[in-house]
Amino acid sequence: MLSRTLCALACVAMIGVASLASAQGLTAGMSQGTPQLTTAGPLAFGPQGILFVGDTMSATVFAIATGDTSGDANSVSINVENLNGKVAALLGAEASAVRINDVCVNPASGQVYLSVARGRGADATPVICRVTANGEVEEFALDNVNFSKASLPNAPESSEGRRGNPRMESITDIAYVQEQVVIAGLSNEEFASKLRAIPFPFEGVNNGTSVEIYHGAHGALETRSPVRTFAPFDIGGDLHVVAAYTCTPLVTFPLADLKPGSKIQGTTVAELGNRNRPLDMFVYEKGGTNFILMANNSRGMMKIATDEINSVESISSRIQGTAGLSYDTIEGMDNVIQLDRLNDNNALILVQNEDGGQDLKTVALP
Amino acid sequence: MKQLRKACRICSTASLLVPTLLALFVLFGGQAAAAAQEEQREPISKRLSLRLHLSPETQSPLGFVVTGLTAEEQSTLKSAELSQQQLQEIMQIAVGAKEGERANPGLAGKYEFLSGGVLFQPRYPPMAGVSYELRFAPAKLPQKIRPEESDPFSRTIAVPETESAPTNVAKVFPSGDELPENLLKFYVHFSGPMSVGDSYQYVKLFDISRSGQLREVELPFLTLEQELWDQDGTRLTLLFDPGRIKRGLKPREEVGPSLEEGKTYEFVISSSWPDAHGKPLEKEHRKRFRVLAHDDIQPNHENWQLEIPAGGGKSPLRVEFAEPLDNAMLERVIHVQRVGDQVGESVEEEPADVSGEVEILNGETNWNFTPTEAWKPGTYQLVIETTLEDRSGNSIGRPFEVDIFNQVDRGATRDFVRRKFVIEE
Repeated sequence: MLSRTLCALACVAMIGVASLASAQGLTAGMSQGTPQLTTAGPLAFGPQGILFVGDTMSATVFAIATGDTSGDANSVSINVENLNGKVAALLGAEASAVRINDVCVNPASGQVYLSVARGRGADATPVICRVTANGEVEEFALDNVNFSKASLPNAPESSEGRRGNPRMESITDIAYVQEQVVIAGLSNEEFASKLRAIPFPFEGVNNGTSVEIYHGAHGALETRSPVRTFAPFDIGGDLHVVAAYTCTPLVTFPLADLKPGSKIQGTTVAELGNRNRPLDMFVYEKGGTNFILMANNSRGMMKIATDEINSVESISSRIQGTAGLSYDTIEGMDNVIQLDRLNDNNALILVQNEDGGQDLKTVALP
Repeated sequence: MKQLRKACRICSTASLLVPTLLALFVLFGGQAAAAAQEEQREPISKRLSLRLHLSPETQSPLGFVVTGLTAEEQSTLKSAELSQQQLQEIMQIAVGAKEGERANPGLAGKYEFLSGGVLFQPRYPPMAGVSYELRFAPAKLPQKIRPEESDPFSRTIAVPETESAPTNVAKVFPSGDELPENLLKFYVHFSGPMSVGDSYQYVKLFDISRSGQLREVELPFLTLEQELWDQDGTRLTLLFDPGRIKRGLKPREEVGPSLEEGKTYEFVISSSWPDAHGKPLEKEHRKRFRVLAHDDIQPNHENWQLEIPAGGGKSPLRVEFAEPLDNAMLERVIHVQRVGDQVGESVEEEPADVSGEVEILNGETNWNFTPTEAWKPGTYQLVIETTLEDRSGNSIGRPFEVDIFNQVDRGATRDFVRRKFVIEE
């Protein structure tokens, strides 16, 4: 689901980091072949049409050079009814046996990539599909592509076999920003939520160091709470990560702090209400102001103005309801389960219908 | 593993060697061709049929075979050297559309000529329980064999459901019926692989403290997009929402804790949860438990009681904890090492891992280790990862609730604690 990569592009536009020149070598070090995914989970796009796929089962991030580097995302408008049904038919399955795990726009072309599980169980076949700029659904075959990969520490060793160590570190979200892949992970055994920044192109086996995120709230320091969704974001010229936590605070911390040996204390800039689960978010600019667009499971689509994100006082005392940055609820965007920025003027949403169908829609950025 | 109730196999008397692994599974012969010859005067729309191509080893479907073409039709088709695209225009295979729905797009795959028909090997194998459709267009056949009848027609075939034993909840951990108010997680073990992705809708927690009436607890669990399964899809880790466990956080302040001391609850797993084959569980699972006080005491390995076996035998080393610990972690984070041949020897010698079997007993309060080979007298040590947690997420290394900004980054390395013991003669 998470998309955020595109905000990488937004960040590029905003502060001019990650110049094209520096991006030229991003496919260097890749090898040609077929990446052996065990699952296709969270997706993110980097520059040059490089697709990052979070393989949750093997705790590995694959970087795949799609070669999809031409086109004009600003001219794209995609609407596909019953997308999950079409993907299922393409893969020779019933819709109930196919799951779209994430939806991500390639900013270089405006084409939409889907991570898909074909099958119901944990052994489902991972597939990457693509919705072309003219709305055709096709498989993006991973045969003979240029790719590289980085495995997280503590991943089960392959020699242990599939029935070996049942501990896994599930990748819950990924993003690309400024030549780094930011990865949120959560173990299925000990309670440990990790956030890592791994340099890209991937360098050897050094996959970075995990750190834990603290955020000040309620007069106490919350620890180890899983990051639900996050996006890179420029604050005052410095790249930050803006992260939504399970207990609904919106927290920022400098990306530069996310490095081995660091201690991080985030700034809680908003409390977005209770009984709510943030699903997906991205950052966009409109009329000279940056906004966060966030899909939620029970509070609809939130539009959060960020003018005061640098000056809002960190929430450090017990509050009632919401606090910090305020938000607007966008009408008519209910039941959104996936979200990404399509182009300068539009968002792409995947909407869950009551009949089980999922529609892909282009909607104007609010 | 997959077995089909009924198999539609292509029988054969002769084999054809083709340079693909798939073809090794297929034996075709002249019988089908001869039958087709006899039927050649039948309209093509009557003659053609669609069958499954099965692996003789697993009986799982690998593809489809279009049979019923005459020998001339088959040979002409083959010699025409049509492209895969042209073959697809003639005989396209797709997931069968339901009544009133538009036709589905054709499956990607590869056509191959065999003596008894045309094999279509889809990119992904046919799935159990799904109906597939052959859409045949006679008008697209080469001129030489193009029949007068030109209307397209279709054939369907349903892949039989997979035969599998009913799946059930095998065990839920923690296994006790008295659990702390700040319980952090359940491990739900199933007897077979489950469907993943919609798990949270099948688990509910009920407060039954009021005259035995069920009152559903609102959103007790942390709903994660990437559900926390093991690799087999037989164990789900279900985390309680930490925002409602940790004191002082807004979800707990406003909605209250998921579990309250003194109350009785029932954790219910619905029988409508489909397993990996799409079949519901055989029966519902209920776990009733009473809630104890908040547990913020870290496990302390120094307080564990060790029952040390004598040397020369294979009796287990028995370790008794002061409280139940995390079942999954007990399986993997405690190791036994031999550190010296002599009783009382220092641990400076390179420790050697001792292999053996681990048993977790008595409500996760006992850890028994039976060595593969008889104990030799000497000095040993338990090596324990400090990540080992109790039922409330308090680990040897750190309590669950940390309210001070202290050293938190231990990097990707693991920390261990050790507990020495001696095996006597």
